[in-house]
Amino acid sequence: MTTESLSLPEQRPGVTSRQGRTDGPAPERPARVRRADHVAARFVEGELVLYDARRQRVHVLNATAAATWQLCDGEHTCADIVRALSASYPGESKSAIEQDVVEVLDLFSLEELLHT
Amino acid sequence: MSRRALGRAVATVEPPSRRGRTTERPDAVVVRLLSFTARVTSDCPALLRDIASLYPTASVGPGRSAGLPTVWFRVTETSVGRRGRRLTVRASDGQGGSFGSADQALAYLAYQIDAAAAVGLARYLLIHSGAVAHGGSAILMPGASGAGKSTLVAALALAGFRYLSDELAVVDGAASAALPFLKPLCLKAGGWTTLQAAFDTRQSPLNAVRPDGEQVFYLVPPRPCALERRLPIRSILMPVRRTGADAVLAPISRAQTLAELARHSLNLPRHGPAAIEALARVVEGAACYTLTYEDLPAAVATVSTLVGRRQPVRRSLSRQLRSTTDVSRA
Repeated sequence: MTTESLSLPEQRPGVTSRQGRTDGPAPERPARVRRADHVAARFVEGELVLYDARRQRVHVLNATAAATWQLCDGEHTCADIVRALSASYPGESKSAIEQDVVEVLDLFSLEELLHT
Repeated sequence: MSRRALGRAVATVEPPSRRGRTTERPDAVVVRLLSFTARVTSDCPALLRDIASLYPTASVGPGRSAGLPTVWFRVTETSVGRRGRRLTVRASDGQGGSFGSADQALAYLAYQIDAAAAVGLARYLLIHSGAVAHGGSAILMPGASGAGKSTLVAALALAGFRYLSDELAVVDGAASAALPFLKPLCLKAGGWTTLQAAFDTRQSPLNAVRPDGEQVFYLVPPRPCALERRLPIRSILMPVRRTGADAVLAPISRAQTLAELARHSLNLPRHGPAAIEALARVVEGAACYTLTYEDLPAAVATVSTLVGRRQPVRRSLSRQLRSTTDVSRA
């Protein structure tokens, strides 16, 4: 069993991220993103904890990652999630939020937390 | 030192009809760890008494008086040359070994009994964690091997906390409670040295090399909790022993604590998402901290303050250590 904290980067567009890949066009991903069936989620005191039963890993998400996770319901696309978070965080630029959402979706994919 | 002098209050009492047989030469000891039972039979009474002295829940008596055990071990002694002897251990699962000293055989048996008990209790959530109790509530101290769990648990128990386990917290997820897993205290060399420096010691514990190759010191657990008592988990402390550090409790988030409990769980895959839900309830009902320390008495004082216990009194270990003298039931 391993545990990890999934956090969005503090830095904004232009930084190297996503397993060393320099930012560029968002990677192709399914039109709608959906949580994998083998992942259980539980809020604990405002923080979302994910349990990946297949890989035996536990993740503690920060607030933005948690919000992204909740929108990975098979009904929303990446663009939908960006729009929703932009509405929730009006002080943040849309490009910064888009960067964060792409990055966290990458992390979810890397950790095999999303339905493929 | 008699068994009674060791302060054992939870020794199994035979039914009245059996009591007349206790004068027989014991040929078996039965160790009960919750619903798990191990029976060790041998024609070497000293070895049986040693096992009984290590386990607060052990009972010595004729082997045929015991019920059906979960596992059994048979120890036979054979002479080697003119003065030597070897003890051969055979287990019900077919495993076993041959040992040149009683202490080595004893360490092997304790290791195998504890491991088999963990397997036998898999219906509970098992956390790699020390555990003590105070005021009817449990304190868990999860951590990896070498984190100092056993040493801290030993110190807390000697300071007046109730002993639940030095290595394995048995958690009833439905009740968010811990149950006592009264295995012997097992300290590594460094832990034993630290404990000796903090407490007066005049007797030597069982010193042996475990089957995993680790040199260890087995101690009789002081102040064992009452058998099968469920204690709500009210505190979870992550022990971090660090050179030069003052004893400090720092709050950590319950989510991170849940992740740590999951990381140190021994059977999470067996329970799956239900375990996460159960552990979430546990952390939601507990105060969660990291406990950073170097000085063992200072750590004990810090934990005592946390739970509102009077500051511990420096105590001698001499009456708490393993004894190989009379252990027959009074």
